[in-house]
Amino acid sequence: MNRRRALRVFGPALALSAFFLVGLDLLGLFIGAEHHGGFWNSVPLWDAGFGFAGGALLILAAKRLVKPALHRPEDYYTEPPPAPEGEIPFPDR
Amino acid sequence: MSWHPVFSHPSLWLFAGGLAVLLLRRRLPAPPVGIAFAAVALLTHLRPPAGVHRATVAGFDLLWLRADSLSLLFALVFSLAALLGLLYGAHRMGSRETAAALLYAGSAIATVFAGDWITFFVFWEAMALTSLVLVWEGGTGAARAAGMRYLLVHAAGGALLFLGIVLHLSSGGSAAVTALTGGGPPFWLLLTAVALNAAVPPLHAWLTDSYPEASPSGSVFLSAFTTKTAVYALLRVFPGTEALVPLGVAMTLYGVVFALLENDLRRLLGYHIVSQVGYMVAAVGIGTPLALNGAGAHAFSHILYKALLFMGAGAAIEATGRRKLSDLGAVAGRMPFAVAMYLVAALSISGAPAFNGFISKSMIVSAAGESHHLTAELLLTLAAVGTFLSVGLKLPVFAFFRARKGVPVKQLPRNLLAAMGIAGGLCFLYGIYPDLLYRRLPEAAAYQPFTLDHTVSAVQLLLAAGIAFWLLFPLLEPSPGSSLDTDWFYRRPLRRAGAAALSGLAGAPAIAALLRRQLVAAAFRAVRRAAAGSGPPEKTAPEEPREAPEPYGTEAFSFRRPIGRTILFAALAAALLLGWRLSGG
Repeated sequence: MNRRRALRVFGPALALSAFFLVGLDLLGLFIGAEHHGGFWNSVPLWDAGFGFAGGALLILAAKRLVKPALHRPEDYYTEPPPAPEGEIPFPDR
Repeated sequence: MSWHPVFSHPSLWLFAGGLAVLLLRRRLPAPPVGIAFAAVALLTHLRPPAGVHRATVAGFDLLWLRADSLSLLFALVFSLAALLGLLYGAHRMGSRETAAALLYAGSAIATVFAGDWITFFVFWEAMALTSLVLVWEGGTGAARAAGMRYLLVHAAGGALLFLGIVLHLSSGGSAAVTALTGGGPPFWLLLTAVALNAAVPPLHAWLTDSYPEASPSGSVFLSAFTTKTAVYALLRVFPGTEALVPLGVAMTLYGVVFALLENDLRRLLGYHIVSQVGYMVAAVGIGTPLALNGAGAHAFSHILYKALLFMGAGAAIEATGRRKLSDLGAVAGRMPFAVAMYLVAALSISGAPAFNGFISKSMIVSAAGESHHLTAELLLTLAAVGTFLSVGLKLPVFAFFRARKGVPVKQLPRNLLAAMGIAGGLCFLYGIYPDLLYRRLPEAAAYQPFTLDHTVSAVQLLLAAGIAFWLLFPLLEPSPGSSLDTDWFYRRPLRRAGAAALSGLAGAPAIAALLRRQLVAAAFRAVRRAAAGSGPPEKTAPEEPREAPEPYGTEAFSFRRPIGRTILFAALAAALLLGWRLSGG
C-alpha cells in the first residue's frame, strides 16, 4: 500500500478522530479534568505532540543511528568466520 | 466432597497429559489428548487450590503447593495459554511437541505454586529443558543451533540460581520463597538469574535468538511461560527493588528500537516481549501497591495478546511459507480473519482503549506518575509509541497489506482460526470488563482505567504516532538482514576463543584428529567427484536470482535432537544432588 492510497483510505477517519480528540482535550481543560503525574499531563494536546515527536525520534534513531552500526547480512553467522593466520579453524559439526 | 489438594493443582493434569501423550502416541493423535488434559487443568481453577501444602522428600521439607492470589493469577493465565496454544497447533503438532508443551506449561505453573526454593529450582529448570525441546521442534538446522545456545545460556542462568539458593540457605535465609531485602551476594545472584529469564538486556539475546526458530505453534508456548514466570519471581521476591526501575525502562526502549529494525516476523515480536516485560520489571521496581498490581495485570494481559500476536505471525508463516517482512505482503484479503485477530492483538499491545493492554499498561504508567518516577513515566509512554509503530503499523502494513504479487496463500485450518478467535475475544473482553481481571489482583489498590484523561491521551498518542509513521514511511521499508545483538559475544569471539582454548588444551592429539578428519573428508569428496563422472568438472550454471525464498519448514529434517542425552545429564545431576543430600551433605 503506498502512502497516497493509505491517506485516501484512512485520511478522513484520521481527520474526524483528530477533530473529536482536540474537542475532548479542550473539554477536559474546560471542566478541569484531573491529571496525575508529570506537569506535562495538563498541557493541552500534549499527547498528540509527544506521540508525533516521539514516534519520529524513535524511527530516526533506529534507522539513522542504530542500523548503520549494527545491521548485518542474513548469513552473517552462518558463514564460517575467517580464521586468522596460523590458527586451526574449529570444525563446524 | 473433598479431594486431595494435589488434584486441584493444574500441573498434575498437565504432567499427566504429557505422559499420556507420550505413552499413547501410537494409539491416539497427540493434540486431542493434550487438549483434554489442558482443559481439565483449566477447569481446576473453578475450585482453585488454597493454602500451603507440605511434603518431605529425601530429607527436604518441601512446600510443593502454596496458593495465594499472586500465584493463582499466573496459574490461571498459564492454563489458559496452554489450552489456546494446543488448540492453535492441533493440526500440526506431533506427540513430542505436544508432550513438551504440556510439560513446559505444567512446570511453569508448578514454579509459581512452589513455596520453597528447592521446588522452585527444580521446576524452573524443568521449564528450561522442556522449552528447549519446543525450540528444537522448529526442525531446522538453525533451530538446532539456536537451541544449543538457548541450553547453554539457561544452564548458566540455572547455575547462578542454584548458587544463589545455596548461599541464601547456608547464610541462614528462609527456605520459603518470600521477599528478600538488602543486598549481599545471594540477593544479587538470585536477581541476576531471574533477570536472565526475564530477558533483561544484556541477558536477553537467548529470547530473540531462539523463539523465531521454533515451530509456529512452539513459539506461541514459548512467548507465554518463561519470561512471565520470571516476572512472577520478581513480584514475589524483589518487590520495590529500586534498581529495577531504570533497567525496566531501558528494556522497553531497547526492545522497541530493535523491533523497528527487524525483518523477521517472530524476531520482531520477540523484541516486543523484551519491551513489554520491561514495563513489568519497572513496575516491580516502583513497588507501590498500584505498580505491583499493574505488573501482575500486565503479565496477564501480555500473555493473551502476545500469544495472539505469535499466532498471527505463525498463521502468515504457515499460509505463505515465508517468515520475513521483506518477502511478505498482500495476504490480508486471503486470510482476513487471522489478520483481523492479529490487529486486535496489535491494538491490545499498543494500549488502545477497549483492549486489554490498555487496562494494565495504563496502570503501570499511572503508578510511575503517582510515585513521582516522572522520567520513567515519560519514557514508558515513549515506548508505547514505539510499540504501536512496529507491532501496530510496520508489521501489518508490510506483511499483510502492502501491494505485492505472487505471495502464495494456503487455506488456514479451522482449529488455528478458532484459537485466534478465542484469544482475540478474551483480549476484547478483558479490555471492556477490566474488573474480571482486577478482582484477581493481589494488592488492594483501586484503579479506574476509563477516565477522560487516560482515554483521550491514549488515542491521541496512537493517532499522532500514526502520522509520524506515515510521514517517515519510506525509511521503514524492511530490508533483508538483521541487527547484531548481545548474542554476538558468544557466537563470535567467545566461540572462537573456546575453540582456540580447546585445541590448545587438547594439544597435539586434537590437532591430529582434526587433520585426519579433514583428510578423510577430502578423500571422500575426491571419490564422490570421481564417481560422478571422470570428465572435466562440469561448469556450474550461474546461480539464478532468488525469486521466492526457501519455504519455511520444508528443509530436510536431518538432525537428531540430543533429547535423550540432555535428559540423561539432567537426571545424572539430580541423582548426584540427591545422593549428596542422602549421604548427609
